[in-house]
Amino acid sequence: MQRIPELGPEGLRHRSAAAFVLALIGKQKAATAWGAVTSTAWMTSQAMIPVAIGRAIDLGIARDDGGEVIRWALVLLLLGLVRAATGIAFFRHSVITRVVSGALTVRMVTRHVTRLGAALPRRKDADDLIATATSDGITIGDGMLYAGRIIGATAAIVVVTVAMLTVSVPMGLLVLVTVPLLTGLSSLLLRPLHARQDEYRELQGKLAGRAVDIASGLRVLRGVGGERQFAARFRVDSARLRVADADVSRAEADLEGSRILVPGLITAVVTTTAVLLAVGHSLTIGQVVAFYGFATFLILPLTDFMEGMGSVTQMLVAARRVTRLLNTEAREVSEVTADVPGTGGEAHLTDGASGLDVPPATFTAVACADPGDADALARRLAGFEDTGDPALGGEPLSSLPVSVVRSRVLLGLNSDRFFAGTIREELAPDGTAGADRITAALEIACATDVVDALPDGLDARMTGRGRTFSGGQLQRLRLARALLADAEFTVLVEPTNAVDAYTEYRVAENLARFHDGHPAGRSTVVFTVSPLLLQRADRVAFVRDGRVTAAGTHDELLRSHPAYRTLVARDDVSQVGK
Amino acid sequence: MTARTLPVADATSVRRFLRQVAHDHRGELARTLALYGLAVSSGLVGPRLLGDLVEDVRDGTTAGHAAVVVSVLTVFILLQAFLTRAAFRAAGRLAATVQGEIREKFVDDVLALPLAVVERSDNGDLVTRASQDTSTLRRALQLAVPQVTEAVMWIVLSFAALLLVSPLLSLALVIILPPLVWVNRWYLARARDGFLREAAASSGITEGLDATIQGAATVEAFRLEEHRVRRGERDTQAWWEAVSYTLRLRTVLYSVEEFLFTLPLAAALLLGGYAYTRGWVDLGQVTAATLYILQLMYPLETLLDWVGGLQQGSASLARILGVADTRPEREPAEPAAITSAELSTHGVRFAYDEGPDVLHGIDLTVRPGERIAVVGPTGSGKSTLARLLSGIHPPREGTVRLSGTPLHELPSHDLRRHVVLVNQDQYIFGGTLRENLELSAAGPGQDADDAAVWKALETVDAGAWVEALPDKLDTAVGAGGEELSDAQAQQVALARLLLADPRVLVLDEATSQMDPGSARHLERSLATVLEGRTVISIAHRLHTAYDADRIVVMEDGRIVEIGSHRELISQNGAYARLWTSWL
Repeated sequence: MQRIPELGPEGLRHRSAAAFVLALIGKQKAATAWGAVTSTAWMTSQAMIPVAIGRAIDLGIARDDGGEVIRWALVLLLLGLVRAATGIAFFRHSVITRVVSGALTVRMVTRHVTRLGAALPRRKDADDLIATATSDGITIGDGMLYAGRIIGATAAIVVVTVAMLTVSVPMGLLVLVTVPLLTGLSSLLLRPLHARQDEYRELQGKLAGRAVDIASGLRVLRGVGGERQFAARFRVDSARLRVADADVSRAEADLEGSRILVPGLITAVVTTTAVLLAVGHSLTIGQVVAFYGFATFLILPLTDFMEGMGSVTQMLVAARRVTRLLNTEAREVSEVTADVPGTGGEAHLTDGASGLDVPPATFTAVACADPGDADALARRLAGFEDTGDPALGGEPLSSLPVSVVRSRVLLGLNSDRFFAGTIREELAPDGTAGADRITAALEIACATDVVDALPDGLDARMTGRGRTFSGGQLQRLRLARALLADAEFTVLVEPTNAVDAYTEYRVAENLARFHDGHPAGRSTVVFTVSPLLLQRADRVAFVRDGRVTAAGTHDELLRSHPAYRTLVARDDVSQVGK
Repeated sequence: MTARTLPVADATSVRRFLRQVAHDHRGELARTLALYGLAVSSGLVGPRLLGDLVEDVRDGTTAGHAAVVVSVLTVFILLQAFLTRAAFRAAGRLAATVQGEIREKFVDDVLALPLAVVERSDNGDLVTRASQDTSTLRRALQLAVPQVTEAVMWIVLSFAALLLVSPLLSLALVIILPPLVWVNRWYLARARDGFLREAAASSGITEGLDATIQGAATVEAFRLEEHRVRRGERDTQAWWEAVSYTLRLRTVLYSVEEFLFTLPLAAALLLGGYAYTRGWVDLGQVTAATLYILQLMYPLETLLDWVGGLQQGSASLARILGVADTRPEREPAEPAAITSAELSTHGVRFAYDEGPDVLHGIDLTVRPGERIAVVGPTGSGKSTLARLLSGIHPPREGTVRLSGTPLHELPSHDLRRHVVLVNQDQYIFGGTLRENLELSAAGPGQDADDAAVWKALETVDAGAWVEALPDKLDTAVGAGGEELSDAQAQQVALARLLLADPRVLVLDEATSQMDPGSARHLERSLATVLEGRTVISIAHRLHTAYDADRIVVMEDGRIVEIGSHRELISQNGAYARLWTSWL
């Protein structure tokens, strides 16, 4: 099995759209050359077929010369063979080019997106990006495919021109003027078509959005019984789309009509002239037939040429979008992670703005009066924000390479997702943890039962969004994954808010026990207001108005800080309902 | 529960469907075909006239005669262009209609999917069908079908014209038919699976990239960069391998066909030359026959180009139609009179698929207007009970009744007018916020007045942020509009519920995405508004239980305790233990 060429560490050049396309071609140099050669041979052999037929009629049939007939029939067969062989070779080449170019583009985009990381969803055009990334690869591949056809078409046009001029100069000139002129005129019809197509696409996009809505929101819709209203709205949109669709097809029909009309008119003009010349004996019957053949044939390379130009334009547009994405600045993903300055679990993780200090090898909990603070503070601690002067071992996070920060501080959020793969792969990508470590992490996260319930256990596959698991099950799997990442500081935000009280209690217990064992200087920082977690933490920091206002154990804070008590204690339920 | 893909319709039912469509639109179909026939026929006049002209020129003719013949030729060309345009228009209109019908049928089918199927199928599959498959189908219907129809018509009529010119010379074309038929059969037998695999591989790339983009933050936090890049490489390589297979198939097909196209030309010349020397045919006939065959190259090419498109189109159609291939959920029944909101279960047992029972004999009667909280550890069957109480799954054994009528005997739409389920999955539909709020079987539907909508929003603490939206209630939300947070989506779901105002509400962790403080506040205001409604809440936050009239404690698929907070605390059992641990 042939493989897609490797990208190499430096990837493809992407300073501009043209540079990117050239780099893609550069990855397939031999193939591109082969494509040009086969495309030329294919088109040329096809162009010569009318000549052979004309010769057979003139030299053979009209003169009753059986030998000549056989000879030209064999020439025709030979041309047919060459045409078939080169046509196939070119076809194969174009499919391969399309796939390889598309695949290389997808790989480049994937690589870049992983480097953009957390900065990506904040880009306003993230939606566009997905459309871009998946379809542009294909568009670029299509453009590359047509690039080869343009070369072949040009060659064929040249060959036919020479052949025609050799047979008859006036006829040749006539064809040369009429064909491009009429073909050019018919291309004017493309403009209204494109306008209609744009309009259609917009509506189609809207309706496709509705259809996707129904697929994604079906559970919700059926839970409340909104089917009829949804269907009614869908029908209204669908009816409008039908109208737009018919408009597009009217424009397409105009184009189809011109596809017949233009060659037809060319044939009429050429044939009339040829016949008139033949009546005056300046052209033979075979030559009349040959010109008829030329005229009908020339449409093919000309349309190819025009379609090809269109595809190449689209390719450049797509390549521009791709390069714009590739040129957005990404953080450095380097292998520096290997030589992280070792601290052996002695460094403190601190946040200057709030005064939060996380000592090494502890189970720390942070209770924020404002839930918004928890998110911001957690992001700062993990180096996802540049504000607040967070520091690791006294070293400002901003002065450390991002990869170092990422390898030492892990941020686990409830918005973290899974990717389609086996549970084992999702928990410990690339076999970073053995079965015993996975089992241990699942136990701490109380997720053993989740995995045990699956027919294939750890080797069961989960879908991208983990749809088949409940919110609580996903949350426990997320916790297990965070523990397996084995970071020096594991920062978690409300890691148990979707599990029931029983389980939450057990998780808190397990986390505390895990830290009692002093696991190689590891710290866990939990942002939560759940008393179950708070009471098991070694130390609790209470944050109000963005500052740590008190610190101590849960019990100490409960006793000494009424505001803390109001925030976390649940005994106020006794007031509810009275 | 494992994810399932929905069925794909088999070839027979796709054919049956197409026959039905052809039957329903037989008028338009006949008109379209007739137009194509006429268009192609006018195109076939050309070679014949040219052949005759060649004969005339050879025998010596005047320029005037030639001019007349050529003018006739031109008229036919104009006619052909005009008719082709008309035929394509008719075909396009028909295709737009048929496509609309298929699209609407698809949505109806999806909406009628048995809820149990929806619950366990992976929505990625449905999304692909709704987006990619419908657009592939459009391409097939709008472009492939007309082109192929025209090409087939062209081939058939050319052959007829050839027979008219000279039956003898038509033999040149006949010789290629057997190998042509053979190679096409060989190809078609393999192509469908090949293209289905190719489509699956290409949606694998989309899924992978989509996940990488959507999960970019997770990728960075967990340092999954290399892992995702490798996944991208694996997906693209798999696509490449799938394409390689169809490419091999197409190579065989195209090689045979391309060669077969030239063969009849040579044969016509040889045969024509021989017949001409024997005086069986004249030069005009040889010319016309050769030109007919030469012209055939284009429709044959078209056929080749579009066969793939038709294949892909039929694979997509099979996937779109396949959605309907799930058993109808319930027999249509007479809408029973629902007079009270009493919900009761008797001896209910339930198992997912062939698995072991997860509920073991649940007996529970919920009185109208009662507030019930269901608590218990994860995996004790709380959510399953919620699904049964809201009629999503029928019990394996026993009954669930509303006002004495078994839930599964109620038509789905009627059922939802009385019983509504809101779970932790939330989704914002593309459209305005108002449209999102009005989606429900019960309630005022499209006519909700502003005051009621605002009141509902205030109750779920959503008034402030809705007020801040650019167009308030008419702000576009969901795909392509304002993005709402998970917590806001849950507020929308609850506001929708308030507007629908059903007799029975089943809430399965409906506030789980909110922070505890907000959730507590919201639940309190809900409680006041829902006075008099039957509310069954599944929750892991115990203040919900505290508020309830009765608490149902579940363990291992059984109800172990039932009673008010006070009663259960004094019993000092499972609930009491839970309560102390929670405080």
